[in-house]
Amino acid sequence: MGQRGFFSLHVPADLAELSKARLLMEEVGQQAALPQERIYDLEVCVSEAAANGIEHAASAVEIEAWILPDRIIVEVTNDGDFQPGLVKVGEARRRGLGLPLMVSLADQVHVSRLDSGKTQVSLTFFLEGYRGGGSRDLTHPLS
Amino acid sequence: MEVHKTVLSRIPLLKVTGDVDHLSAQALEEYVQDSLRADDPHLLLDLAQCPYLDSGGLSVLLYAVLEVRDKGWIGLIAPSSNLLRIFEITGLTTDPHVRVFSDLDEATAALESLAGHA
Repeated sequence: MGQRGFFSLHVPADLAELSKARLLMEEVGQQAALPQERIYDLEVCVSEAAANGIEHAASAVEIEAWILPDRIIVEVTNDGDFQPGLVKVGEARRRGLGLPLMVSLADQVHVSRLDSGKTQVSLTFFLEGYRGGGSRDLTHPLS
Repeated sequence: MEVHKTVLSRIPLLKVTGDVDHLSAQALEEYVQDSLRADDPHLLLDLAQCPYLDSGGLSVLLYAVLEVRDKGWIGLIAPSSNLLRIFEITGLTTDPHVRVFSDLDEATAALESLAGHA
């Protein structure tokens, strides 16, 4: 925290810490003047990404967030490979919905495997009026 | 998160207060399992005081739906617009074994009309 428009949080490998990640996202969303509904989406996405790192990789999680002129970017980084928690026989219950929710709620989701053996989930939320696609006419790419 | 177990028209009702995330979902699941053991056809969850629910909580609800599939439904009472959106995105609310009630009175009326037809 500190620097204007930049936020960071170290989340220990403990699910009890997830609420702190959500509090931070509430602060980020409010500072970016996101509507309440989008702040909720931001909280869900970051909480899901962090929970994934803690549950499947038993790893502490680093969260970094930037408020840019047109978007919010949040990077959630943990040790180990990304395991989306696909359904396994006999334990179908607490598995598999985190990634679909992130994809549904965020404007962009990137999952990157870093050289350091870490996994990074990068979430983009465009600010009101900046969501891509509307201004380009893809049927006439040269126009 | 806290869960208060009570009864509405002889159907178990779990009042959920607080966030249901990947941590608290484990506790909620125990309450749900415990409530379903009694062989009631339905289970009610009062979500009026639940400001946050993510895939941790959804998994518990989906588990409950699977458990009552052959006999009844899960009633979700007073979810916020945020929760409702999560339910709709994941298709939970289109499941015929899930009912959403805007408040306790509406849930009571539904249960009483069922009892009247029995």
